[in-house]
Amino acid sequence: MVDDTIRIEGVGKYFGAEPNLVKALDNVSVNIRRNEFFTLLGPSGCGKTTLLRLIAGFESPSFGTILLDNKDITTLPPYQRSVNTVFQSYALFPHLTVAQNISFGLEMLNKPKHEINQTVDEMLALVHMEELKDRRTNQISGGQQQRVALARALAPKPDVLLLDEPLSALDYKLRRGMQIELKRLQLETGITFIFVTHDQEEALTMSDRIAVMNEGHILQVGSPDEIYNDPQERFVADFIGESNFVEVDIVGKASGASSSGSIRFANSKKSYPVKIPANKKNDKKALVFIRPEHARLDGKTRGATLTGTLANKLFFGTDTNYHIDLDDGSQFVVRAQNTLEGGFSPAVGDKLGIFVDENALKVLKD
Amino acid sequence: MSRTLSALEQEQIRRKTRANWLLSTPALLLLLFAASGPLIIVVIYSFLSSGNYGGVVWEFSTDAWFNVLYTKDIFDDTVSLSDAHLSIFWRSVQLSFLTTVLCLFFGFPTAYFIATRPPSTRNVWLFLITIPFWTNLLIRTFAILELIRNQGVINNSLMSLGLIQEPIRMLYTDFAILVGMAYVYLPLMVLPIYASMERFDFRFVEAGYDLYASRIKVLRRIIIPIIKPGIIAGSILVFVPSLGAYVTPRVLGGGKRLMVGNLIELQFGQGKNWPLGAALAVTMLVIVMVALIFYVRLVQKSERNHG
Amino acid sequence: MSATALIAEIKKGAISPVDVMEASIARIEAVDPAVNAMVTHDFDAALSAAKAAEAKHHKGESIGLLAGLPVAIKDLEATAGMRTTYGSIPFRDHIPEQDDLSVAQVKAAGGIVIGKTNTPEFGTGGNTWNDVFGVTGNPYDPTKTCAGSSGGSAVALATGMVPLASGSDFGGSLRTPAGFCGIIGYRPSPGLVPDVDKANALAPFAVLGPMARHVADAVLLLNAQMSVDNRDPFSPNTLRLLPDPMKAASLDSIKVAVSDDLGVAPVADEIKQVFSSRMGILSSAFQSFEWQDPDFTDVHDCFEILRGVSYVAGMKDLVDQHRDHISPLIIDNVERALSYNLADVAMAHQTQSILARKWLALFDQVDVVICPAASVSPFPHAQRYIDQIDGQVMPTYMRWLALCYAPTMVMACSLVVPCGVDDHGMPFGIQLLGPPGGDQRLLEIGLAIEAELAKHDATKAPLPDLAKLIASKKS
Repeated sequence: MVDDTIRIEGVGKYFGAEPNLVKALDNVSVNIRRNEFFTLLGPSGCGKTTLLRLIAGFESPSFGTILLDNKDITTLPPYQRSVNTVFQSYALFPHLTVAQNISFGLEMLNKPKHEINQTVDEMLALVHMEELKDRRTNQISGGQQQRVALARALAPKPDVLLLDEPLSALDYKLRRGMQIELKRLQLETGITFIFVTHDQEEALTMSDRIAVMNEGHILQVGSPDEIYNDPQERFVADFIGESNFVEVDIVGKASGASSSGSIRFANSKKSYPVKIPANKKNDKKALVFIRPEHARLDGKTRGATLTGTLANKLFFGTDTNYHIDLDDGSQFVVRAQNTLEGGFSPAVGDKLGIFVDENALKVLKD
Repeated sequence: MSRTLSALEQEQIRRKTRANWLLSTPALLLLLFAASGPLIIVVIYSFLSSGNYGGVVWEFSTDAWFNVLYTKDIFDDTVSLSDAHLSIFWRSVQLSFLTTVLCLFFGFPTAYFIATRPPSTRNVWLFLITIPFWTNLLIRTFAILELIRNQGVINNSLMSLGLIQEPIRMLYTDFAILVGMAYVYLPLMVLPIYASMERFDFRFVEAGYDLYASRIKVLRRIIIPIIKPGIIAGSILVFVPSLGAYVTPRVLGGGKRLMVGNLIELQFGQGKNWPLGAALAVTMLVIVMVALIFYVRLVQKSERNHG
Repeated sequence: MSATALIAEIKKGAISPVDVMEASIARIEAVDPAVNAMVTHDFDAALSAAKAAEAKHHKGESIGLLAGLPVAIKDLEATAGMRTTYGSIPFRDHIPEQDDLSVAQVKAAGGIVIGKTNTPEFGTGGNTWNDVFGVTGNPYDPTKTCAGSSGGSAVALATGMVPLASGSDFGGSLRTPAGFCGIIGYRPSPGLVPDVDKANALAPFAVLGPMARHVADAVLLLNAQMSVDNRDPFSPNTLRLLPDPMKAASLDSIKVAVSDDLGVAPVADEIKQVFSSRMGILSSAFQSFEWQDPDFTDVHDCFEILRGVSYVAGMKDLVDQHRDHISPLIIDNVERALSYNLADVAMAHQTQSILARKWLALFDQVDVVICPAASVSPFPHAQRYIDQIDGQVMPTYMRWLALCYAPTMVMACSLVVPCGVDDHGMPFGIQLLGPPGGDQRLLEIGLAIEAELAKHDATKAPLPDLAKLIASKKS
């Protein structure tokens, strides 16, 4: 049996009243396992921060239950939950020093003095802030503040650490450094991290599992690999990484419970065997999604999955993105790795064939 | 990292300094003449002799200062400490302190309430808070009197409800003065605390809850320390004018419970003894400054202790 | 009906002076047994004088300023052919041959003296009671005093016996009764109503003045009483009558100073409360409204001594002659006065000069000073005077009148206007104070304030319950 720290059961949060009712969260259920790095990913307004605030206890749900270690904490105030938060703005106490900020939670828990001092020293070492412990929090840099915020939230050794877009205020390089540091801290402390971000790259690099959210719902929960390679819905596919969506005809369907079937691209006679989602079984048309790096370009168009004209080339260092105007007028992006040999290098305006393997084709639920 | 500044940089700094001085000149002149001028006149007056019909006679005298603390018996010329003056000073400090505490007690929640309203309605609340300022002080004082007098609103309601048989005597007591002054000076406490509170980031409160601090601890350990500048400013703004108040203590105290302000007003307003009035005013100024230094010290100390 | 309205009706011919006189006599006969205010009267003479006035009016001759209205005269003013006792046993049957100047003035203006109103012996004391006629009761509660010394006049006005009455004032004798009975009393500047018989004519303290139920009526009677007579050194050289009708001042141009105790007077807390509360109602009507206690430092000693001087001057011979028949209060006054020495008197004059100058200077800043008319609520007349206020013992029997005698010392003119009732349902009056010589301005302000007070239930002039009053006597 999987060991869950947090269980969210049918939780919803509505703001306001009809006719201006806002459903920030609508009937969400998800289980978060012990010691995992769990990420809530989605665009702003998707409900991820609301969910985090419900877990922290800053808001109470309109309905549903939240359990921490099988204990119902739905109605407990934040200060009675073994859950700590790293705030997006850090919310470091401006009237206290770095060390005083870190010891605050421990003092509130009435820990003995020597234990507090010891934990504060440990935490300062953990985030490499020993030198600055007597500084005021407005006298240190953003990255340092970030680390103090982490140390402050970790010091009481909570069961769960909530992180609300903690890296969004940092510049790119610092952010990369902190991503690695966060992962290290999570492994070292063995605390369950629930991380909220709208940055898919951050989510993919750090998480054990990701929940993709939109409009108050969790659309898909899975490992970064599952989420990236096997998105169930167009929104997930579109939100994470770059994607091409092409409408296809469903030409063959297996009967009964089997999900196998086949599809065919417009203006193409070739059919590809694919898995058809259950809700698409009776449809004639479907949407397939293809990652840009899973397609290949060639000067020849014969036997190609799709054909089109090269409209633009964007050089990214390791890769180049080729933007192709398909014959039906839609756009398609192919990403190819750059090699020193140079290799195939088409010019803008060339007529090109796009080749896709059948296992790179995913039929989406919608 | 130290280095010598280039000539150009030095010139720029010089120019900036000069510009700063130029810009602040009007303010400095105003301060010099409008603030120090009258103060110097008051100090000089306190060392002159009293004129018969008010005013001063330009003759050096320390009588006024002598009279602040001592009285000389008219009949046998024995000198004794002026109990009347000392007790008035003491009463004034006490009442002003209590007024400040009372204003803080009511002003803080009020400011908190306003600061936690949506921004659009905050201005309405602030406007409501400042309305009393628009009314003549005496009329405001009469309004308080109307509430607490023997046949006033409070006593009449309590009696008609049968809760009391005899009216509670509230008017012409220290309590009445306290209520009156707290009412009059409450906005001076609310506004600076509100100003601090408005800038206060309420995420600190969430952070406090998150770190296991209960409501009271969040108030004591987070909100109050952070908005302390507003509390200090409000306390000063209430304490200082309370000490000099004279209309409110006169009307609500019934003329029997004088404060320093009344005493000074008597010397000047009725033209009795200007030098004594001046000496009393300077004494009050010294008390205010000592009280402020003491207060700021106390606050700083508590800050160090709590850290 | 006000005196001014009655005169207008008489001049129109709508009513006759005889009607007014008959109504007045009827009222006196009905009410006076309950209050004992009109101690001497001559209804037949009054009625025939009214008939004469009526006849004169029919012939188209002038019937004077007062148009044959009945006027009550305080029993301290000599009336030719009518008993004038001064409230004193030795004068029990005294019938003067000549009118005092003020009475002659009233008669000359067409006023008809209907009778004499009660007063304490020689006007001494703030409670109208004497051994000749007994006590005069307050029309709002006959067991309580109507104050004094013009108590009989005040009661006669409050109960509607007469539209106009005369009074006199040293330390509040016109003003305290007006306050206690809910009517108008006006203490004019010295000399305005010449007093030609004062023993120490140079002391500006004792004055004669009008009492009425309306400010306009007081102006009317004052105009009648005023004259020029060089036997009173304060009398002006030329007679300047007040405008009639007088125009009320506009309140929003008036700067007011209020004080509940003038800084020195002992005043009962309950009176201060009522006063402040009433001022709160009135406050917004004025241009400016500030609290200011005028300087009356040492006014008590100053008053005691200078009043003593007047007493010795006016009464010493009398006390020496009729010691057995004179109230111990008067004897005590004279003897205490004789204990002061010259230095005391000099100091009192000095103090008075300083205070009077400061009083004048005050009116550079304000137009009128307002304070209560009396320091206590009307008290049972069995109690001769107020010996303590809220537990504070009064050092002299006059001290409770300090609200009135302090302004006397600075020669203020003073108008008492009724302002609702106090916590005991007894009339409450306020005193409007002006500088000496500022009579016209003060009366103009008084007219305006009287009109303003009439707008609010809490401040309008009270009326006694006459039916109850009459019944109280019968039962």
